[in-house]
Amino acid sequence: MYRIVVLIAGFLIAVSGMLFLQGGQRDPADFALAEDIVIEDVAQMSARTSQAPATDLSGLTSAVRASLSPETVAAPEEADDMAAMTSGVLAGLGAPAPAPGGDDAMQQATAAVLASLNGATAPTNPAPQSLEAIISQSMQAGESDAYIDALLNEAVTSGSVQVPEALMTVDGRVDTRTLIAAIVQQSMGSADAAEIQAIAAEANAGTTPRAPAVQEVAGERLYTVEQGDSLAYIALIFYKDSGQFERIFEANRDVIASPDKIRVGQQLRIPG
Amino acid sequence: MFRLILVAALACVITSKDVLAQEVRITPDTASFSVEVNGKLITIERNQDTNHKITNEFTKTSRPCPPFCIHPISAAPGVTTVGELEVIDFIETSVAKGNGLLIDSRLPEWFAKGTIPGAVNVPFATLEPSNPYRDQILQALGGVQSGAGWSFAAARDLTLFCNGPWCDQSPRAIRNLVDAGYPADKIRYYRGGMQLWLLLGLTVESPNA
Repeated sequence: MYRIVVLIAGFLIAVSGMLFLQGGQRDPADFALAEDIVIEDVAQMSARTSQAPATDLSGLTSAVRASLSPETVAAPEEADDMAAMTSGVLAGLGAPAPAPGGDDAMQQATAAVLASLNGATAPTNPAPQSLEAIISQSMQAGESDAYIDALLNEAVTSGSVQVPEALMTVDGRVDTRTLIAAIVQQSMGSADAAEIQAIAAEANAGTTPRAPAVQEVAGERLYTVEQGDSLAYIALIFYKDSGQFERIFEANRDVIASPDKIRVGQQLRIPG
Repeated sequence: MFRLILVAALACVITSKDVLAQEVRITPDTASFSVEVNGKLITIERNQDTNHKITNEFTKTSRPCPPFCIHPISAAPGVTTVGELEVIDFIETSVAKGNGLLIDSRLPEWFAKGTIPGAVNVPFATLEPSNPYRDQILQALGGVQSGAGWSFAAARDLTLFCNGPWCDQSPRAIRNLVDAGYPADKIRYYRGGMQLWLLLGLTVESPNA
């Protein structure tokens, strides 16, 4: 008899020990919580049904926004994906896709699909190898000028692209503002000097348009080189054409060894 | 006295059963599933943390409809709707042998965040008739252009999915495929999508990781 009682007690201790170890799974609070959620859900559902469904345009717009995850909205690097995604969502809503250059996005998407269907890894944003490719891809993607500037300088530093010497500033960086201004200028047709300067200044975030530091000495125009200038920029300011930097270079051969060797404070002759 | 012993023994048996059941299996017979797809070994199993809950995007209950409306069980006439076990089976019997493709119809950003192992990304937008390059995709799927039309006799079997029963992307892709002439009996629709896949704690992989 005594032995049996001990045996049973032993069993019970073992069982309660195991139950204790399993405790987390059997937490009655879980069940209570689940019930609460169900009740809340029902309450929410009945509240919802009384609301009119949002069918107006702003409702749709917010729906579209909601479908774009916040991190995608925030990241400027994904701007072209955003365009593709937006047009995708709009198309899904029956609206015509708005994307100018939508075919480009589609071409890229198709190329990625084909790559993955052929068993290869999809080339996500292959690194552009030429200056033009970096600029045009970035501008199409709506990248910020600061981003393009960083990208360009990185590419030049790593030696993966070559930049014309006239486009190197006195600080030894790529003159992205002039490059962008030249492209914008080309796309706008002709523009007056003030506009070009504004564009250039805008491209170089943080600076305001300034009058070129010009002196007239004995019928010659002299320009004093400033921080951030490149020969192309100076040509853009005076001739509305960065391509005419050769004229300034030729006129100052005696003081400039090569188009990227200008210095802050240097006075350059600007042929009329 | 005998009854007491019996009760204690029974309690022991019940408890030990719980201990064994801690392993979260896919089915009673299958704990996990491994197969080689395109030279890469993929494994599908379930999260073994029995207290795990989904905490991400997929916990939302009330996305606005439209566009996130609840979809019928069938995506198109003749297209079979499948569940998780059929998807796993499809990976084993079709995808691994190169006869079939498991297609994630979502946009690349979503695909990159995590997808079903073995899936390839064919964003629904690329299957729209408005995509001027769509023919190339249809060819890659095994379609052959014959005259003005297409022959899909040798085309691959497809299983399409997107974010879940509230997602229009894979049904849309399926409708466009069927409209283009892709045989409905070569298409399957996994309606549960990422929502149910994640809810069941099944393996998700980031394709480029």
